[in-house]
Amino acid sequence: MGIKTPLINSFWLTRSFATTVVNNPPKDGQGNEMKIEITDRAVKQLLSLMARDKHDNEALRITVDSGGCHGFQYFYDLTPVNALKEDDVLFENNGAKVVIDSLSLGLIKGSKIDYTEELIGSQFKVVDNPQAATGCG
Amino acid sequence: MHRWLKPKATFALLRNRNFLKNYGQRRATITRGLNTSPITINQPSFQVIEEESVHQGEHYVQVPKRGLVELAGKDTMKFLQGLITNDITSINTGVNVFYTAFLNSMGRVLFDTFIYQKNGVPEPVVLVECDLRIIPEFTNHLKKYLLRSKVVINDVSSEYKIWNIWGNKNLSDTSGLNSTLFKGGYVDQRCSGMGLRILIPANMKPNLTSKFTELPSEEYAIRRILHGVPEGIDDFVPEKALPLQSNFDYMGGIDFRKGCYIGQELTFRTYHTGVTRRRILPVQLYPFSATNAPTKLSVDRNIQVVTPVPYSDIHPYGQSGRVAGNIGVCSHNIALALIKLDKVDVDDLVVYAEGKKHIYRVKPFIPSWWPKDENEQKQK
Repeated sequence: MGIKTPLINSFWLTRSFATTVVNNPPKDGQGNEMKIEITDRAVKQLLSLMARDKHDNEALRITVDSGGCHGFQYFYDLTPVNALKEDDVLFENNGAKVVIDSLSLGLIKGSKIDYTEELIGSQFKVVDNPQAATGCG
Repeated sequence: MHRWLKPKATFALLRNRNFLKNYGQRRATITRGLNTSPITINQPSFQVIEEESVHQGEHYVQVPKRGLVELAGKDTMKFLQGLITNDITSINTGVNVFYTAFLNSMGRVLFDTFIYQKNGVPEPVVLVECDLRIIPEFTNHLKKYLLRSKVVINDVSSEYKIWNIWGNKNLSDTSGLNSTLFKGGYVDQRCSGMGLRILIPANMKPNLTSKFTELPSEEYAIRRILHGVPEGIDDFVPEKALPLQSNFDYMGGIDFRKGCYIGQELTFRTYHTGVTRRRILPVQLYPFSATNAPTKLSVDRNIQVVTPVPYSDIHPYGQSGRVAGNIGVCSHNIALALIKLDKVDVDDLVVYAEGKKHIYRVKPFIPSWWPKDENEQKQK
């Protein structure tokens, strides 16, 4: 019997490699590569933002800072790709770019960057953060 | 995550917030301690009525088991504001020291602290007083949330000592303190009657007139118990104690009108919608064979009982499964304990020490400085 990757596995494999690190592949304290995933919805929204603003060289910057009722909060911003700082890590999925500085990346590695559309408004969001115990908003 | 805070409910929450804000202001008028304004050194406002004879008169005592961490840098205020239960912006309005707690994200007490402003220009420098035994945990907690905040953290426990001063004399007798302090002396706001709490370099003693006499530092704990003021990890079990059960609201350690801080969610909700059924209060231990319970809290220094270790269970006699509370700091025959308020009048509470070798009866007392409305709640 030939070895065949089950369908569900190949699905996850393609997903986890859909986002690539463009520069600065970072390692955490244990020597593991720190990765994030940009979801298709986030890609679609980022690309449409670029198209609307006629900028093709912008990235979504995600920063983690202390504050809020659970200790840490996320900040989102758009930043030109050519103005990256030394410790910035650039991720790309199908042309959509996300920039995270390595300090923040340590706190959100393994998360997904999603775009959620809800009644109260739509927003980019860090979801499924393995480092987060609790959260709100 | 509480159901209120699911994203779809956020609208309702935002509208309710104003309601709660007003409600908080109404509550504030009956809750003591929200005012943390400092005294000017000439006010006679540290007059204390001491019932214990050793403490009567003018005395000072070195506060034991307390350490200090210095925070300096331009982000200090903003950084601390996100971590503490009290409002650090009060420093800008002339308050130089205030009492506050650090909670974890589950709303449990980690550290009980005083924050002293050392210097405001050009960059703020503050000293945070915390239990000496958990200074490493405290600095780790701060460093965890530091990220890119411009704050330098240093343990300066060996450089300063904390003193407690009280007496019936006019405070002008303490004017000699001015030279050694950052900005004068401060009335300990936790309860009326604790006196002044001051911070001076470790190689100095408070510069006071001869009317003041020094007492051994174990008297600090005795006085604290008699006044019903919990402090440190013996009284606040780290990661377990809840801020309202620990009297931080009574002692002016929580600002219910400030914005987000770690652990705010549970604290705020309990304050406005919950009932606090347990609190830390003074108790007297007396022999199991005694027929009458003591009617007044008083220390007997001749009694050298084997004291129960902190966190020992207090329960009705013969019902060790029905825990009514836990003991905290203990000295001679008195202690602080976290007790269910509906068990305050129960006569058969006991606590064991050294396994089950020693047994004492426990008589709780409600401190006189507690707000009256809460006492009435207890009666119901």
